[in-house]
Amino acid sequence: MADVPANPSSSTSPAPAAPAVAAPPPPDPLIVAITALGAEVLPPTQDQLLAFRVERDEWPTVARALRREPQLSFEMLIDVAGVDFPKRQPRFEVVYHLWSLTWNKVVRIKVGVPEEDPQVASVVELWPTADWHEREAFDMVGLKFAGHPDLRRILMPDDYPWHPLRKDFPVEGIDNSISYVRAGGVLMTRELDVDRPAGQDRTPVDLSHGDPAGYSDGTPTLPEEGRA
Amino acid sequence: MSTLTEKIVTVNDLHEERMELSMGPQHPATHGVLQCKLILDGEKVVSMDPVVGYLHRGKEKHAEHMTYQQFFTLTDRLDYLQPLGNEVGWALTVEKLAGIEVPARAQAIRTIICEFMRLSAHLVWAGIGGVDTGAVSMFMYAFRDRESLFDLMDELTGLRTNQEYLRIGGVGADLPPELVTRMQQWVAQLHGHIDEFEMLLTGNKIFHDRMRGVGQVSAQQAIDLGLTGPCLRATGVGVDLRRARPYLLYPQLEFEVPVGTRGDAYDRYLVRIEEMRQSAKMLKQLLDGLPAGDWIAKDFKNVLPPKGRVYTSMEEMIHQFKTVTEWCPPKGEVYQATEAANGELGFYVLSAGASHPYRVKIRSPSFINLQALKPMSVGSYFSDIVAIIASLHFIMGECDR
Repeated sequence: MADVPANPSSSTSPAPAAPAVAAPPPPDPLIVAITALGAEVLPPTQDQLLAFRVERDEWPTVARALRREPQLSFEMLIDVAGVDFPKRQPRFEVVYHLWSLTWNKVVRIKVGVPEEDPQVASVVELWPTADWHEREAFDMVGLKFAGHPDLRRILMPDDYPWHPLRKDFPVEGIDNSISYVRAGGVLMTRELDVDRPAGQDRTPVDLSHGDPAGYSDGTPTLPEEGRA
Repeated sequence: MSTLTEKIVTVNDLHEERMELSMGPQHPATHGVLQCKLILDGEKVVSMDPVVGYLHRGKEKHAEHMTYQQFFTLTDRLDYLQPLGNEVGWALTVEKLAGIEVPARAQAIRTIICEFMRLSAHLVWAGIGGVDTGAVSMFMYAFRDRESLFDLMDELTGLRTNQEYLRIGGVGADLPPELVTRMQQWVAQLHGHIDEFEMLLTGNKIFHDRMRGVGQVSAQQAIDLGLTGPCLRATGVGVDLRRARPYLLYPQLEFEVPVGTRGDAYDRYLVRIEEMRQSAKMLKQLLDGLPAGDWIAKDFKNVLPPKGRVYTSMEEMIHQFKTVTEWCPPKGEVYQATEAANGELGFYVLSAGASHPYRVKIRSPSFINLQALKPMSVGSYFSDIVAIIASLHFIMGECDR
């Protein structure tokens, strides 16, 4: 009797051929709902936050669903961080941290932005707090947010020409009164030290600082030529 | 005679004129270096554009060129009214990244200093906020307590402010038992002192008139604007990271999260005053039940050994040298938030497995809360801006980073 395949409607006894391993835990409904929007789940990191990668073109619809759908309802935008990966393709990444007060869950959303067209959709309409977050990412990393009502610099002066949190910007800064040379993807500062031997008056900035070889997470990197 | 009568300007004509006014960056009521570009219609604020960045020191850029332990020095100078609270946030971030277990006593000491720092920030807020709204005597009362609090911190860490007391894996020195007694005495007398503050301000007609109904935001507006901390709770949203995303010993502590009802400047004042009482309540529990044990993790492959042992033991000296020169946490990324005095202070760290962080993003509550200054002040009177700034209480060091 037991070895007859049971009719699902008359479930009197469990099937004997059930595997001995424990069934995997049911997936988090939030993960299911967010992946249904077309987001790719990223492996968990040390802080165990739910993390997703969203394509740049899909970000406006995903963002709208994250904010408005009742089963998601991420009411608060905590943070927007622009990150520069000079050796990756796409070069920039915008990292959003969203907090659902309803579920008390924080998710991390990553949107890749290429260097040729450093533009991503603004989310000011959905989360008005994004206004200054996006202005800061524009100021510091040079990302443009399409649809932002007032995309100006916020921390640096309005006429400042560079985006200091890019990896090719030297930490000692670039004096505005000194000309600079951009060669091979490297910003160079001209030293004012007249005693320096000829030919050594330019200090190239190490692009790989803090980014040892191998940190690419499998994403394709730019060819090494043309990069210092 | 006729020329004179032709040039008479009526009251209605005057109202047509709008005045552009730049308030700050050196205005005493803007708490540092904030500039507000205002357009006024009479005394009404038509438009307001806060200009920040005068105190930008590039901390996030510097962090990419410093070791994890070195960055503590810069976190001190974010919200300089609660330097140790910022250090705790950074320490928790790095420990989560590297998976370092912190001993119970070190966690208790950290929770204690977090609450002391909240009191320190709120005391300054009470004093300065009193001055801004005309209650100058409040300054004297609040700073009396702040000075005696700094004496305690001085004894614990060696410095009054910007202490650099935290270490990855623990704290820099133990909390001596006689200091615990002095802290308990300080906390015991605090309730009476808060009563004094309330006598000066809470029922004060002038203070009430200056603060009530000023800078009002609804709960939904506050969430949309990303407000956190006392400014959010004043609107009636009882969200506190010590409860919502707990860290340190907060899950074991008994405390209440005060909320307001109207979300105006007066409610923000009441919430902060009640938070001071709750902090005192938590400090009493923590100081009474301070666990014994280590104050820094014994994991000396990842943690700086105590200085005394470095001078006497060969092994610890090697560990010290190795930790300073070549300690690298694993690859990965961490977002860790703490409930600072002004709201959610978060550190997002991206590690490439090197000795320096690849990217550090500081989610500063002052920066985000300051964004609310514009919607709060447009449509109000010019003189209300000072009260709104006082009640928002942003710290420009944290805002501009």
